[in-house]
Amino acid sequence: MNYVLIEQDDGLQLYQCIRDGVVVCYKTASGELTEVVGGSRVVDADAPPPKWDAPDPAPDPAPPASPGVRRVSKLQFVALLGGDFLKILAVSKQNVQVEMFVRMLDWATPEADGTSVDLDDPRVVGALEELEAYGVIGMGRARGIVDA
Amino acid sequence: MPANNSPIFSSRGSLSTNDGTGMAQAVLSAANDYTGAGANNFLVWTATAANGGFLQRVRMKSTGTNVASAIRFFFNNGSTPGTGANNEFYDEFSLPATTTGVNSAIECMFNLALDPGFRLYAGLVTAVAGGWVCTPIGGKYTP
Repeated sequence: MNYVLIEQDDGLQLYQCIRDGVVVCYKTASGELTEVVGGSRVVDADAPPPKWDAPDPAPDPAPPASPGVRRVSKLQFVALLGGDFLKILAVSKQNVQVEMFVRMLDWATPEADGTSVDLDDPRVVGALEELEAYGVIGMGRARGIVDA
Repeated sequence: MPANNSPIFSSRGSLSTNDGTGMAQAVLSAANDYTGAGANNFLVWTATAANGGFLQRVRMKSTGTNVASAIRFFFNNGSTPGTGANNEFYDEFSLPATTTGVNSAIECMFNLALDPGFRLYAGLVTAVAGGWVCTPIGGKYTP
């Protein structure tokens, strides 16, 4: 905020409170909001900030960057599974838990950006680790898929 | 007063404030009224006393760093402008904040014929530090 000290025709001195070249308000010497009555003239075009001057509020901080979300579409996820996807489909014919994993993948509703699978979702990580534990996919494949 | 020649043209230029040789000076003080009676309203132009004149426009140029303001124009009937009843609020124009650099002129259009002896006064709404020069561009009617 910049200040210009003016004097009304009746002798009362006021501060023009200026931001970006525009008078945003008038204040008395004690800092109370007021209005100019009648004519006025400039006394000090570069008046020092009065004691009640408060620093301009800092601009709003930028919103914190959202943590990286690793999301892929269904087809991208199938591509990550590679040849293991055929094994998973085959095992799903006999194993309800594996079938449920396949169906959950199928039922997932795509987000606005087209992605459906969150590689950090505990359900995805847990399912892959179980597939690994049952021997459907090779050892270390679960971590390899989600870290791809 | 000249006859109603149709069309009528001014025969001499009139760039002074007082139908004489008065030149406009920078104005800094605010009048901030709607009556034109305030002491800080200033004379912009005077129609020649014998035949009247034509005021085409008023050109505003800043002469330094100014906060944003506005200017109000009042017609005056030739009597003291300190009496509000002698004035008529005509129009107002915004004046931008300016710096000491080159600033564009503000052109306030009038295109009006004024009665003999009638005047144009103006007053700033907000007091400024650098000032504004208010140059009238008009002409005088002659018989």
